[in-house]
Amino acid sequence: MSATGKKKEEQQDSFEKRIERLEDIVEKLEQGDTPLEESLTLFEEGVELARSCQGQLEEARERVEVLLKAAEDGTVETEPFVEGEEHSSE
Amino acid sequence: MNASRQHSLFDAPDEKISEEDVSGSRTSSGPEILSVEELNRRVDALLRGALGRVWVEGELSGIRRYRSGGWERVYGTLKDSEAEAGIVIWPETLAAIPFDPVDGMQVLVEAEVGLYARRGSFQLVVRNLKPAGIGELELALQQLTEKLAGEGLFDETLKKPIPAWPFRVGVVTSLQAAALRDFLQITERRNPALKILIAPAAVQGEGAAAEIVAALEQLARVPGLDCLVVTRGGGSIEDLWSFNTEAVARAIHACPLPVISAVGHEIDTTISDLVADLRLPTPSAAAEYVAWPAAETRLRIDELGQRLRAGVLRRVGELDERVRWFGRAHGFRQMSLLIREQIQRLDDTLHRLPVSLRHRLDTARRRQAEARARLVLLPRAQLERAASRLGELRRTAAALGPMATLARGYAIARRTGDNAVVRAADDVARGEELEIVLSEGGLAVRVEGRGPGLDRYRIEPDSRSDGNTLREEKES
Repeated sequence: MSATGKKKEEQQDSFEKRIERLEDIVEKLEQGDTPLEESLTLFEEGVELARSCQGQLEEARERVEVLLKAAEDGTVETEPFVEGEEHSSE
Repeated sequence: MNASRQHSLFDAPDEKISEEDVSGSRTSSGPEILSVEELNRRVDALLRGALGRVWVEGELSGIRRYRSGGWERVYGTLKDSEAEAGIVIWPETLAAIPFDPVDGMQVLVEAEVGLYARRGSFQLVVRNLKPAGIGELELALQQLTEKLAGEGLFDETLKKPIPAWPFRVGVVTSLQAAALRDFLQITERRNPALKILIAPAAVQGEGAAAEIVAALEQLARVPGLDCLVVTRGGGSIEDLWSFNTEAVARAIHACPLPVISAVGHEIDTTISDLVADLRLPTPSAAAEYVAWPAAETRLRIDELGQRLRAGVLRRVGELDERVRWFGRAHGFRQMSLLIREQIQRLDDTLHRLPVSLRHRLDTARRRQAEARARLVLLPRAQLERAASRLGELRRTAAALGPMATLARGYAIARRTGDNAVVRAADDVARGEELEIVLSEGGLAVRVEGRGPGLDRYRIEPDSRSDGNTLREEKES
């Protein structure tokens, strides 16, 4: 057994929201009517979004886990899934 | 009411019991006087002995249910076009029947025939009840479907949307199931970024429904899951039965997360499929659905990144043009310093792009290099002189955009006190001092009152405005 304790909750917006925001930014920039300062700020934000989205795609943590126990307060106990192995379960 | 049948039983009694029960009356001297109770006891014994267990087909009617102390029993009538007979179903039998006996249902009944002594009428004590012409599980399924549909559990309006890009998916299935192996193979191939949390549950047999319900409840507590999948491979209707239970249906309905149900083969539809937010035909189909293709999404983000870059470079390019025009016209070549600063900022940002985006940067890079080369050519003394004005230039950076516009005769009004750009007449009070920035030089003015504003120009709006026009611009 491993990975006891509370999982870190995502601080940032959902992937979906970030992609949508990125699309908004691209459209705004392509329309070309934003002032330069704002264009650069939007661009930086867009790059940050593209980075974090790509980053999330690359992320390779424990891919498949088995839930052992989830308490009411959101504390979860899991263990890595190993095919064909016996998994203890509550 | 059953007198004729009782008579016929007396006329042709079963050999085995007739000796015991009827002999007494034959050996006595006078006519034997029986109490009604005794009569009924004998009739009951005769009925049971003569008929034993029988299978009878008929239609249920007048069904009445009683419940007390947790014991439910059912009374009613079994009839056909010619006759009818009372029935009673005791709790242990009721519990073993998966469907609800209701009026009008055509059934096959296995029953013991006995007498209800209090009324002197015979009745069928039902030991087994099957729907006629349809499987009992099909019937139960049909009944539960109707019941839950009536409660609105299948309403399309209740269906929660499944996120387009789930990253964490909870799966309710058996760890031993072949379905899980298929599911994991597909998700791994299509989207290695997808994390899967399995809540193990038996998916067939005794207690499976309760385990599925518990697994759903457990997953609902896990923070950060995007959706759940309830799945198992194909099997007989009995194998899939736990997915047709009311408990599982209600647990799926109550789940705060979107639930995908993928049970059995294409042809099987279970109650869990109907109540879930999305029904997919097989475990593999569910895997394909939740594991959105990561490669495609990566390309899409790349494309957005390129458009982002093209957009900003075009924007910077336009500005560069304007400033150079301005510089040529007014000798302020040092204005380009601002551009340099901004191009540096751009470089920094570009540098932070993911590698996958960076290798597509060739064109953008070339343009930047060209821009930089131009800047480097500026005489050093000029640059230094310009640097001392940088602070001032930064403050007026917002005004830089419309330089070309200023040259066309527009002006910018700034409040002298805080340098704020004035966009609306309401922003300033009478007597306040403003600086009017013109294409050449500026004016210090004091506000005396309101003017007609844009109303004056409404008949012929400047539709060729370059899009960069500030709202506060007025023709001077």
